Amino acid sequence: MSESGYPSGQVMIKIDGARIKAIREARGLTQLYIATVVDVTTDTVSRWENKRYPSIKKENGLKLAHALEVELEEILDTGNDAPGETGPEPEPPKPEQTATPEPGVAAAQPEPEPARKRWYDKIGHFGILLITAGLLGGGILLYSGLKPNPEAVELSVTRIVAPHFIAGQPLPVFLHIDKATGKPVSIILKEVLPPGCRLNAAVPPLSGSSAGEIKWLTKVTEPTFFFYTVITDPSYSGDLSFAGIVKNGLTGDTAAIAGDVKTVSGLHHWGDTDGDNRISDEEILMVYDLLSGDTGQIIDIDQLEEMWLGDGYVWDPDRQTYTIME
Amino acid sequence: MVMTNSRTTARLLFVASLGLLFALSAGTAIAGPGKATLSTNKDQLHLSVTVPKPAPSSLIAQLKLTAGTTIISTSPHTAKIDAGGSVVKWLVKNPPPGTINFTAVISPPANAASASGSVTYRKPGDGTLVKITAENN
Repeated sequence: MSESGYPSGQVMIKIDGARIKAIREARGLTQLYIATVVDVTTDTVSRWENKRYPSIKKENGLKLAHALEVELEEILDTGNDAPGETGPEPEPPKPEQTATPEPGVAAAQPEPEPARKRWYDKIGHFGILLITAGLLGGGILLYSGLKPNPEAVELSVTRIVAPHFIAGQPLPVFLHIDKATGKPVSIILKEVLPPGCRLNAAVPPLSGSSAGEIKWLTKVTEPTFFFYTVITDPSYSGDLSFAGIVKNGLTGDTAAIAGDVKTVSGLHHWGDTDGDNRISDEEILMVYDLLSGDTGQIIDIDQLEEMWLGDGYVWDPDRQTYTIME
Repeated sequence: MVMTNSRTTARLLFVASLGLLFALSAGTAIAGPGKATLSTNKDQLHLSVTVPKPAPSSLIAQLKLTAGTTIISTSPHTAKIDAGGSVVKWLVKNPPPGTINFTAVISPPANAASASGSVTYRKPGDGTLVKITAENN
């Protein structure tokens, strides 16, 4: 039995900390990465792995499984627990959060220290010497581990957005992830949508979204495109400014997404980059370079091709349509 | 004027970022050389394009004809014929590496001798625009 209800209705599940740790390490994920995805502190993740909080909220368990890219069942504790290991996780809030206890969940309490013999009485002088040597060795290893790793995978993400867009029409935003090696890297990609627009579609599907923010949690093995479209009200006029970050699951580093930031509303199709009311050969080739795979189903590529086939186009803001010149 | 300059700058940045984008992914694929040859047979123009490996995401094959030439038919059928009928273009999406043949039947047949052909695509890897003029065969 790995699931239990609490008076608040909050469902708790028992997790297998050792298995969680093993999966995380096998996938090269940091505790910081897991903590960010699940939205808890790294201390909490550490406690989960060390079985100090063997029971956690099911909601967090699902997020944890998602972060580890496994099914929830794979991280559940299916064995018999030792007495005293079934208490619910206190899940202390992050330092910047207000320490409001969750309904139905007991507030964090200092863990009771079991009565035991003083540790140094048990291990003796030789043991202390061994521990000291171990600490020194560990310190050296830690130091060497902190030095820059030449094999560390560095990620750079470039945003590509057209210099102009037509209000009320889908505007594509491309995020290109460049990766130096073929080693799989877990990433979190977050984009803050500009005020005045809303999400229209995304490829690949988003891992999550909230008001004004979209997020992908995935693994990349090669240079990859992420793509989404936003749309404004037809009466919108002005700029749209984009911002976002990428978190590297391997190194824990966070970097801002580089590239284009701003686009301005106007009367030219986003694919008409030079704004001459024609889709040139170079422009249509560029669009096909960007719109590959599923992305072509989100953007009306046929319409763009018709514009290329024609001798030009004009946007009619009143009718909200393009007129293509033959 | 300020607005125009800003837009021009934004357009330049957009194009520059595309260049940067493909420069960043350079090294993952090195495009081999493409090739195009143009041959004539009476009123038929045959443009043969060798698609490099790795293949570009799309390409445009083009026939340029002298003024006064009429396009009777094209194969593949879908083609862009510019006003005046002096330029025929085919847009090919996801072309496989290998050879693709394009044909246009024109009138008068005598104009076939003065036709020229080309193929344009963006080089996989760095996104540079490649335009290859067809050799007459």
